[in-house]
Amino acid sequence: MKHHFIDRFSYEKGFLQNLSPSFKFLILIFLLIIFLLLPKKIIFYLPFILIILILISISKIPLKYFLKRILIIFPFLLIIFLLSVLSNKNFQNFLYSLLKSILSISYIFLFSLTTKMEEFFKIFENKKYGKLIFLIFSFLYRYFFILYDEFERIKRAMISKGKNPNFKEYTILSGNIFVRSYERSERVLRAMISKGWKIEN
Amino acid sequence: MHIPDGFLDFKVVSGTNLFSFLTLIYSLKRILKKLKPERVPLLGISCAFIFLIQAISFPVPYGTSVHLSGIFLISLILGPFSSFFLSFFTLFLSAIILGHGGILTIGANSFNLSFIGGIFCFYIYKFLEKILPKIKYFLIFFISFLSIILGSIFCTFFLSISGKISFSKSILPMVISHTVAGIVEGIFVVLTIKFFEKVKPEILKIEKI
Repeated sequence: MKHHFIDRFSYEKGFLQNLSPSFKFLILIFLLIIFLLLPKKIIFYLPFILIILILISISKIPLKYFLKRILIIFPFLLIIFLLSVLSNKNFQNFLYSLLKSILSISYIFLFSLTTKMEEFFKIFENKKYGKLIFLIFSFLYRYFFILYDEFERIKRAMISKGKNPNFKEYTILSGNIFVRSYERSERVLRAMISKGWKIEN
Repeated sequence: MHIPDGFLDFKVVSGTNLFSFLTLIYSLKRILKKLKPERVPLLGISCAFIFLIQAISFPVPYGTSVHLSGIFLISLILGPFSSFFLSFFTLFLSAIILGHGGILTIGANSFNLSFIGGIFCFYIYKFLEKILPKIKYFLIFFISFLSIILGSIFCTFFLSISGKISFSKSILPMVISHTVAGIVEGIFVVLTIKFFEKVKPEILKIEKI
């Protein structure tokens, strides 16, 4: 099945793709904290907008695609905007929060588009408590697409048998997915053990 | 609702992140102490299941759709701290790859969704179930509903102490807009639990951590 893979630009040879994931993540957190503390003057925001435009171009990400991805947060912003209008709050205050939010999400997307997720998860692998986190992340990233495929398959089977899925059918469908996930986890465990994974605490 | 980055101020971000990370570390220690290693794949795949439930839209009457949280359901199956732990990572990954929520607001979002839905509501349910075992399904419905409504109340609270909205004027629209999602979540959890009891009851007998 065709999936819209999130890290598809991470295989390009650009500037950000060559940096290590842990370094990029630290810089990202640092930048997000800076955005949090930025004063409400437009002059402070302009350099960061300029930097992101340069980074997008040297990392070989199509600008149109990037802008389309950022649009995803607008429904959330709309809710906060409506609540802010309802509360008679300062509109300028909202605009600066909006700018901070768009800047943050842009840098987050720049990170996720240029980083191979498997490499990012490996940051945790050798830490003291990180092994479980690494495993959970790896399972999450790998099995989400598999479960989604399974969901689509069951839904298609339901429709082809003349059942137009309504709310109740969707519930049975997701219950079914969990039962299958439970059974799959047992098969995965057997496969992991047979490939040399040690059960250790 | 997931709060995006940029809308919470420094004091709220630091307070909520401190609380959530302490809860996360406690959950991790508890899981590592009690979890049988054979259960690791189930934990991982359940995490993918929460992500899936949050990613798909459920059709509701009158042509609209809502997405569910599934966190209370997972806490009923795997236990409160596992549920917090798993949903924290789904929040983190959905912030990074889908843009739902934010990275610095993960403390607030995981408090609203994972702590309220996973830990707080689980213990409320366990307490009430002992007193009123006869209305078990109604309790599951009501507490699932409560988890969504409480989440929306805390979301309004965090946004208001950051000075973005006024609590008294926003609370009513916020709660009303989450009512449908709460009812749908409640019916979903009850029907899914009934489905497990009928099809695979051993899922409900997994050790809860």
